Amino acid sequence: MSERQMSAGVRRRTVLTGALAAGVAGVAGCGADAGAGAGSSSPRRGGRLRLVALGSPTGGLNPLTATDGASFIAMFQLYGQLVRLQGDKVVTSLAESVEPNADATAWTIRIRDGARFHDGRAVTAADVAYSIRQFGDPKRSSTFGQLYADVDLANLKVHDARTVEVPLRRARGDLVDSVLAQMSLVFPDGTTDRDWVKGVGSGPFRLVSAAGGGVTLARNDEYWGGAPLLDEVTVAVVVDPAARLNSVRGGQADYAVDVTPAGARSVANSADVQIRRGGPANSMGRSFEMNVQTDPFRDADVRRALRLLVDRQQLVDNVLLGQGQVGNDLYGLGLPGYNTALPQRTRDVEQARSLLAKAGVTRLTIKAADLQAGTVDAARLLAEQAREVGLTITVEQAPADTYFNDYAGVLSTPFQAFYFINRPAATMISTYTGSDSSFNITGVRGGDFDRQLVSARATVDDAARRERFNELQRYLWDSGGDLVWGYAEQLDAVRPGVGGVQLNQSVPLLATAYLPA
Amino acid sequence: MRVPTPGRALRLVAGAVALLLAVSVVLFVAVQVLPGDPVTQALGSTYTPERGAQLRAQLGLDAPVAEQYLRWLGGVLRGDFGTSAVTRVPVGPIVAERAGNSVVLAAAAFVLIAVLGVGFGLFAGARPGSGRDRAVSAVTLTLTAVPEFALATVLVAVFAFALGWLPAVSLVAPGSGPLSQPAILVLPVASLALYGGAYTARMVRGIVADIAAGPHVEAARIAGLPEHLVLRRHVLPSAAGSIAQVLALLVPYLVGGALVVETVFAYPGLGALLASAVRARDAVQVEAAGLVLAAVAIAGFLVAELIQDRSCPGRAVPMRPALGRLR
Repeated sequence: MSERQMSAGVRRRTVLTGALAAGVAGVAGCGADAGAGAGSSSPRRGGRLRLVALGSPTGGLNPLTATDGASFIAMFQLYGQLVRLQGDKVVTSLAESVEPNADATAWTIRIRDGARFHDGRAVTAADVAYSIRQFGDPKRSSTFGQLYADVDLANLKVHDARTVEVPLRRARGDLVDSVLAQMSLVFPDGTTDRDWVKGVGSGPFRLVSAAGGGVTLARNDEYWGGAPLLDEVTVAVVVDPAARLNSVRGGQADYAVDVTPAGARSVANSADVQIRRGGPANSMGRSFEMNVQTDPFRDADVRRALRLLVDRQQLVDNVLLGQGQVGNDLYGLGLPGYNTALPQRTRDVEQARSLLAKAGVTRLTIKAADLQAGTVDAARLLAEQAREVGLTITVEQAPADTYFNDYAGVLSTPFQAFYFINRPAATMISTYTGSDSSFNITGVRGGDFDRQLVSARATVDDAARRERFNELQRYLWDSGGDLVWGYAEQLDAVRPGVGGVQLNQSVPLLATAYLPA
Repeated sequence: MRVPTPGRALRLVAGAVALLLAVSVVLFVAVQVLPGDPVTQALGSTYTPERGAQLRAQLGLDAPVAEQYLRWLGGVLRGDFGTSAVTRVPVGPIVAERAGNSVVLAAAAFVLIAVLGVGFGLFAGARPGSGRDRAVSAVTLTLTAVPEFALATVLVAVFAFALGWLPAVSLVAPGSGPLSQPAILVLPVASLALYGGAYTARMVRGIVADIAAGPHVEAARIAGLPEHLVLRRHVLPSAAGSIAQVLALLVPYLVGGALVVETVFAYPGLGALLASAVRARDAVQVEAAGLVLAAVAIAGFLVAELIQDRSCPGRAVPMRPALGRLR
């Protein structure tokens, strides 16, 4: 297998996650790896896998600033990562171990021996330190600067060729799950804006060419995890999702990332294309967000009533055409650290009715824009479901293009239809709740909650920290502002027999991918 | 036929250049006022006012619009279309590459449209009201009523999926051009040519029918001249100028039609580039691709105008079949 032994620290975390996730597997069905890996034929060595994805024809290979899918797919094959998500586990990749000090104010990253960049240089601590400094500098990386905000960049220390110490501005016991697992690509020390076109990394594929609208990659025989099975990979930008699906159906591509639920359904009986579902680990969480700082959602009973009146399965069936999972008002399903002990909330019309009567609420307005396909439809369906308990919900439709222009407005909207890329619970809670959050649309913050969040993040022991985050999730499940009704799974169209593709937060990793014999 | 005076031709060219300049201003301003800016688009739910301001400064979007425009126009005149704010890559090379691909698509479609459109137009128009005229009119009317994307979808369903003869999408291997895999051109060209050819046939039919009903043609027929000679000596010479003008006006049509067809087939042309640039709020790329497309369209109009001068000054070519009855 490509991933060698995990470090003591990460192994501990992984085992725990695995135990917790055992429960999820039943709910979530097949994970991404099982789904994507289950090819119908045996692995074949060689060949060229042609992948199509949404992106920009000039996306480039600069991980600090890239925003488009196709570019990231190419970059995740080129640049190695320190750690990565594999289904609901965090596994080490380019890092051999990532260990905290006693109070999680500094972490030590040990780099795998024998990893080499495509130009032959060994991957060293200096390269890792340089990469972290680049990601952490908001002037260099507008995309990831915030993610690395707690890293004390100025005091990064290279101890020896394979060891780098990462001091933090404040204790973060969750650095691996919440930060490194999100983004930890490594590129050579001194890489400047002129060098990105060369795409030099230590990943399983090296760059052959990057022309307008397409990137060609070739097998890296020196890859530390063993040479990939494929000889070549092409990543082409195809903007229209119907055209992406058609490209596989018509035999011009082997793997199309992200097709629509309607498209997926239209090829259900086709012998030329299979739809692989990403599972909740590779999904968009879909929600209605209630702001607890605004009326009438200050009243916890109103929030409870809405969570009880919603028919989640109907939303998944109608809006996602059944190609997703029902949500339980929390983000992070199928990923490390999700609280699987909480019961699935189900519809209870009577209780919803009595809670609303008690609160004296008969009318609400929800703001909705098609930020994701079907967002407005979801809000309309909610309104329909609410009528059954005598609640009138007016859907106020907003244009999607300008939705975030009124930033303060988004943060203070009492009730809105929304989505988040599904990320681990600790990441979601750290990023989107509490007084420190710059994008807290539920308004859950202050007092006890802030204290608990800060102390949960600072907890060093994995089991103890997970317990603290479980408590936070229980609180949010009970009293928070998210009404997560479902997870829209990523749907990839695949030529039958293509296998071994592993999804890492919706990005296909091709180190172990193969074509049909 | 008359040759336009050099003065008149110069005035037309100068007008076209002025128009292009005006288009460049409109394009630039339109991109500025387009809903959603690249900064909020790029940051999405991670947006904060501070981060937004930071990225804005990084992208040079904090200068006054007039200054940004002049800087951009200066670059364009020197052949530098600027560097994409979103991707930090110069847009010139990709625009040139995509323009080349679009020219291949448009040229192939143009030839097919010209042959089919003029051929069927003559065939139908030479005998207005005859059975063959009615048959051609019925078919062309049907085809012009169906939008390109619907035609394209039907063509894909039939020729790519049902019969498996042709590729469903026009993916070009990175670093090569569409001519290295001519099969990928067939369906996009057919989508453009079916609509364009039907439209052109209707236009040509209108022009020819009018002339064929004229007294000199009637006289030639009464005199017993064989039909092919009537066409060649009396109809075609009068119709040639107007037909050439119709063909020149195909250029702007192909510019617009390519937008739709390139998206449906994922054909790597300028139209698809423009569409994805708009989606990504990539202002510099929208401006570059938009300006090139506008220049080509204006060039088409200019040629049509010059031809009109040559063939019959003061006589307007019918812009749509409904106006086909000339004075």
